[in-house]
Amino acid sequence: MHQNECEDYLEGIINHSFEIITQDSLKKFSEIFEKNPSDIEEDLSELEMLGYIKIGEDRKITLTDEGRRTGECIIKKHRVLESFLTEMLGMEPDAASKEACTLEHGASNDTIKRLQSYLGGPGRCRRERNIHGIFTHNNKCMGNPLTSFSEDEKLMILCTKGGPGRTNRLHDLGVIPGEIIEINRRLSNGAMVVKIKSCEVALSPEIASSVFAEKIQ
Amino acid sequence: MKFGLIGNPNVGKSLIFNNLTGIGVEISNFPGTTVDMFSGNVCYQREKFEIVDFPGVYSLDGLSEEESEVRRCLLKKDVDVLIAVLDATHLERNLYLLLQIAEFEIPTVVVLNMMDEAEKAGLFIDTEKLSEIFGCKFLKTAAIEGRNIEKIIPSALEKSCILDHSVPYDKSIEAAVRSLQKISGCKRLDALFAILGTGTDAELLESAKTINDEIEEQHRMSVHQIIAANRHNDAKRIASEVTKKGESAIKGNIDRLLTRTIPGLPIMAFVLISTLLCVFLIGSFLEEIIVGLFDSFLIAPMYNLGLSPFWEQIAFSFLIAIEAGLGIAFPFVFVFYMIVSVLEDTGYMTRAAFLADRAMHKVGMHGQALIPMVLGFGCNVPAIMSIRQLSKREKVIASFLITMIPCSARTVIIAGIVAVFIGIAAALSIYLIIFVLIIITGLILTRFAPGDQFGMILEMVPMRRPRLKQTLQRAWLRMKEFLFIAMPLLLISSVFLGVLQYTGIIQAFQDLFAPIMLSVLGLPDYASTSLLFGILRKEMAFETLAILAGTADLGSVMTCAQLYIFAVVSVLFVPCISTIAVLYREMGLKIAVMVSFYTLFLGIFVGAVLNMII
Repeated sequence: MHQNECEDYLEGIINHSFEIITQDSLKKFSEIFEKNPSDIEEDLSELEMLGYIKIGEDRKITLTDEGRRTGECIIKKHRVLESFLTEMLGMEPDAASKEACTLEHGASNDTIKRLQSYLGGPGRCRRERNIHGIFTHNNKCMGNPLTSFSEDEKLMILCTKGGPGRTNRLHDLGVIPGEIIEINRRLSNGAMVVKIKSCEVALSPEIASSVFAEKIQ
Repeated sequence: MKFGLIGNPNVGKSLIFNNLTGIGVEISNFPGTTVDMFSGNVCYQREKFEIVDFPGVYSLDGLSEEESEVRRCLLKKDVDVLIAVLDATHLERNLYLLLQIAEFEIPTVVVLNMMDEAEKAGLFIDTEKLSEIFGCKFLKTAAIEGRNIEKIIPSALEKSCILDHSVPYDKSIEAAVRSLQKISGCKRLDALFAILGTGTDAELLESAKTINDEIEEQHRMSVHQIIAANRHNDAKRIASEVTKKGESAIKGNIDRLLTRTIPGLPIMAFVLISTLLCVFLIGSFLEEIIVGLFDSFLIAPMYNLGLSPFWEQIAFSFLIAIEAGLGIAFPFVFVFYMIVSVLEDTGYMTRAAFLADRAMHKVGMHGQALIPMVLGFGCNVPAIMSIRQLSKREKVIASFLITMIPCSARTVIIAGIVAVFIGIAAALSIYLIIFVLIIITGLILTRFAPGDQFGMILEMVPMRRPRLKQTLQRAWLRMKEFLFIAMPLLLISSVFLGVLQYTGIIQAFQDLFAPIMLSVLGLPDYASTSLLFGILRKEMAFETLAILAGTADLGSVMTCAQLYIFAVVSVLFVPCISTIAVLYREMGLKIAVMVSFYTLFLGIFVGAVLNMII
């Protein structure tokens, strides 16, 4: 059985609280997966062999840890993709759900994580104007603030928060998404010296906490 | 023909400027602005040319005062030829500015400075290729060694040309620029500024706004961020094309010690305290000599001239102001600025500012404000002039706190009265009282000062060995600010006070306040006159007291408590008149009045409390 199918089954088992194998439940599943009930029963035993579920003597289905993790992961991917397709691309919910069913198996965890942060930001709606009359960007940023990293770590900038007075200077110094920086010194209050474009720049804690980055190897 | 020196901060621009112009530099304050620009003259082949040293900027579309001012000058084409100074060791970051300069289409010659350091770091930069890319002359220099400095002016005269390189912007930006140009028929640069929101044409800004919103919606990035990223990418590409990295000869990094809390903080405390001690010891030694010379060769002969009482008073006020200026300016302030210049040149100041950030934060300021605060120990006037780079809120707080910092003149009072007649411990306790009051004032002001707290973004200057010439030049530059801005104020106000004294207004004042002085502070009536003179020049409070008391042995006419209270009150009481004038110039009437009244009440209040306790 293909991995995609396994994932679909696990997803279905969790979503439809498929707990016991009966004629009714097999029939319901066969409608969802458009397959014969007998094929489904075969597939379920294959799932047990693969270690995703356990079928008890009373034909009760319990998910193993591995099975639950895989299933939940795929459900999360499905939700994120579905919301991206409907809210950002304006697809019909039904079509989006089907599309998500196909995409969910190919999307990497990282893509989903980024997509989720992207959706989580206020960018989903029209942004509000801030006091400067200019858009504030990325009120919610991906990654973590610089203050959460420690000395000698190499980071990639993801985004900057704050009004133009603060961010413009940071942009001019090279703090733009994709730039690789290094933390040379970090004091306990979060003030730090970072190396940007071979120059050392001291940042006070409030500035450091408005720059978001992720660690790179 | 007018040249303009432009570049990032700390690229050796001022050093080049000083080397080109010598000492005949004026500080020109451009009308309607608070940004100082230095301008000077240079002679080449018997012709005189003017050079303007623009303040160091990271970008030409920034929002800071310096950046706006430089942008305005370039847009107005205030200069005929630009001399762009780049730091060869940080080529990529410096090219970012050069790419923006290119957009202004002003004839330019590029100076690649700090070649000595680049060579040490094993960097090889292909200037031929750079010249090819930008279509203009690139000159390699090392200002510290004076290498190739003499070639700058000839190159600027003969080889300057409009930079021929434009940044490939994102296609949505390019499209926006094109459509704006079509709508209004403006130039590419104006269209670009309109999208960035820094333009001046209201109509253009309005139409740019809509496009701007669309681009931001589409890219989920601010226009500034997109444009900055495009420029940085272009700069990165060019830098990597022209730079070859070899073996670096630079080893070890003292920063490991200096920017860590331990031992960084103890080192900082040691540096600051030894600076103050040094200034005090050398300064008071020199001051005695200078004041002595003045008294015997200028003031005494003036009295012998037999002028009419009015003119005698005016002449006395005039001379005493010059004496005050030179008596403090040279001994204390110059020694102090020498040491501070060494600290700045080595790059230590930025390390100290980084470490001080946390403490400064508590009193509503940031690490950057450390430098003005330290300067305040020398003289409050240049200290207040150097708060311009701070944000509005920090400026207000700094105005109050700096005027409370015991400058060298106030140190003279503390040392001359308290240390001599009461003891060293008592003198130190006055410092303690003042520092506690400064901290309390800061804590209160953080609650009430208007505006937002803005964070610190401070470039760390690389650690360098200081050079005598450079240090002297830097110290001299500060001194010039003191001599040309504070001194005239001192002269005018001194003469004014002299007239007041002649007309008897001061006597009336003294009669009015003497009872208050006696009852509240427990001081003799002549003490109020001394305090009033202290406004003119702080350490004059001490000298006038000695004159009015009729003896230099103050211990015989006043009790220890009286001396102590007098010292505390005169140190806190109203900043000197030059400081008030500079506060007025930099911060406006309201702040100047508020600071003066605050310190007046604080001085009297603390004096009264001490009077009750002791």
